[in-house]
Amino acid sequence: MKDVYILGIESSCDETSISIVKNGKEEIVTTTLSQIDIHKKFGGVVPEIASRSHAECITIVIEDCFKKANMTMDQIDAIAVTYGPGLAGSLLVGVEAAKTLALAYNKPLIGVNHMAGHIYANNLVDTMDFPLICLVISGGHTEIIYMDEDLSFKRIGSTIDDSVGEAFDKVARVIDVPYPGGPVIDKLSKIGKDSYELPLPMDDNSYNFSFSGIKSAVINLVHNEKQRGNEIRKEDLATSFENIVVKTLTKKTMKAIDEYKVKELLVAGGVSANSGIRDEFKRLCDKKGIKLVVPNINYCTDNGAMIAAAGYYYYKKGLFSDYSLKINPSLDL
Amino acid sequence: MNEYKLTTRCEEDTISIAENLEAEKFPGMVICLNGELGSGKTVFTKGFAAALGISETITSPTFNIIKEYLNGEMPLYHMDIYRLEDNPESTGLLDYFDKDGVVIIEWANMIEDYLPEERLDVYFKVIEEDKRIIKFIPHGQKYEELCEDAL
Amino acid sequence: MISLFLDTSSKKLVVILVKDKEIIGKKELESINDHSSYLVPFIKELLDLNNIKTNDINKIFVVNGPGSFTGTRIGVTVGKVLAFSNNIPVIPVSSLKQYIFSLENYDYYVSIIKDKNNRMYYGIYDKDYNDIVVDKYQTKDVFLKDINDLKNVVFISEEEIDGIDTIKPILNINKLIDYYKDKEINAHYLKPNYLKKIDAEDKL
Repeated sequence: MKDVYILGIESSCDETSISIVKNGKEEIVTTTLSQIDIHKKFGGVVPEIASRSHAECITIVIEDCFKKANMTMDQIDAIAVTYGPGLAGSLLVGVEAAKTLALAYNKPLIGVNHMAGHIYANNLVDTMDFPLICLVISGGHTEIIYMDEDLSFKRIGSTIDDSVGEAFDKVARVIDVPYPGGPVIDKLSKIGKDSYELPLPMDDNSYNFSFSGIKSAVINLVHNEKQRGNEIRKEDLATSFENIVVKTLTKKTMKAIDEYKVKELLVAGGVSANSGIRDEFKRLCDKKGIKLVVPNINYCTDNGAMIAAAGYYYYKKGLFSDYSLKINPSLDL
Repeated sequence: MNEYKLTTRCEEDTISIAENLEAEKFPGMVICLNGELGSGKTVFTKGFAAALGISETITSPTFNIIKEYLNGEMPLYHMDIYRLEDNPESTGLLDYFDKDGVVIIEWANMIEDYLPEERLDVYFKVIEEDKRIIKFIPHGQKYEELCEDAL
Repeated sequence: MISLFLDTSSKKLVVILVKDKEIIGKKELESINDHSSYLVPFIKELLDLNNIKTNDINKIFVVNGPGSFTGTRIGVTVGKVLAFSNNIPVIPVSSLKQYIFSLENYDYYVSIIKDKNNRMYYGIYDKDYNDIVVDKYQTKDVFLKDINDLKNVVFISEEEIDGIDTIKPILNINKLIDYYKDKEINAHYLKPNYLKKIDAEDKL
């Protein structure tokens, strides 16, 4: 079987990232705009690239990608690009760039769902054994997905208000902790005690999540303590908050694993970098003999490799797009 | 310029106000929501969306900045400017004001210079755990009439 | 010489393929909201019709604004990626200036695009098509001050403007290509020309 190289383009939100992945599993190279030293690129003479926005820098990222990989477009079998969900202005740049590359080099074009990308980031770590449950947790998503084969996604639960990533950021704002809140809260929770009482949200039989209640509870708690003249112990509040998040995520996810009788759990998305969440899932999965796959830290956040990985499976199934591919900012799985 | 002030004692009150405003909706309507974290901006939006007949759950747009809901009586564009770092114009955000749907913007005061001159400004103030004082300031005749009829 | 011209900076979409001064393909849409669905398909269609490959193109002209942010972004992205991929020179064209080349014998050319709230984009050029006022975004009052003393002047605008006699914009692609043909830039440098809508003067 010939090796298949997919070029993956991800520009749905804040970052522009382009990667080349072999056979859906092996990352050859990944370039991200935020990592490129633009000034160096132009030998010290800085052109008026006002903002590091996708529209202004896409060709630099493409060039950097192929240079680092020491490859050319001729060696690429297809171009995969995120067409949704995400920010319209950002998605458009990736999609139009992909279409143009496809036209210029006569390569097939593949539109990829950003969420599918997050899930297939795990494929870069280990093979996916179906059926499985995937918990996608990031700034933009909190979902439990069931898969019984490649590219077959069944959403069985999601958040009804804030995503877990937003919950971390908002609580961080309330307790006055620097941005990004997630990693800081994770760090603080290692030294704090679980001494504040917070309610466990949506403690029911559903697979849905809710985090805006915890946010309000923290806000009220801080307000009340201030009124009483008590100082908030940030590390303890971080611990209590993180514990509740871990509890709600693990409780519902493990229940899904039981109900759907799967042997593998994937955790995907930026918040999967949280150590409290990783550790507890590892403990629970070991206990039950469930295979746990979490992505490397670099694959947690938006990147082209996850799009290229997912793109490989679209390629194998012959799911190609044409040049009229439309972005869909509200795309669902 | 008139100001309207209402006190709410629970989430349902906020939702009720949103429903009343929805009843007077028109294409191109812009509602700007301002207020601290947890003051009720998204609760208001949920109430408005439900009245529009949108079946999807309205989730927080803080991370995504813009969320589109297209299956109600009118398209609803729900935005949260808090995280926005780029120039609002270059993100295509302003294009949504021309789309004949309803635009609801949380933390709108962060892009005050870019907002349309005619719009409804709403300010949420937290008094107690569940109590809020909500202030409405209409800009432009359409919005003055809207407030007179709905509030 | 084969030239490709793209304009997605307004509600219009224009794609023109020119070979040695002859228009061998043209696709135009008047009023659309999603240029993204049409731009690359149109380019492909024109190339296929003429049995031309992308790397046969010698120059790419891209209208990079001012105008719609989203629209302009689409044209710029396609233009720069195409230029980069096939190592073709790319040339940015002003959405205002593009229309003056179909006219001659005036001392001044003023090209206008009306925006909301009594504001406009405009450029003022001399009899040799040189820039006097480059791509400005201002209120009508400031515009009127700028054009006050101009004689033997022509005003170009798609929409009518109160108090000013305007003519509709017409594109003379060959004259445009002739004027712009040496103003090539590196594909990496092509970017949308987003005029800052809020500037110091405006706040007065």
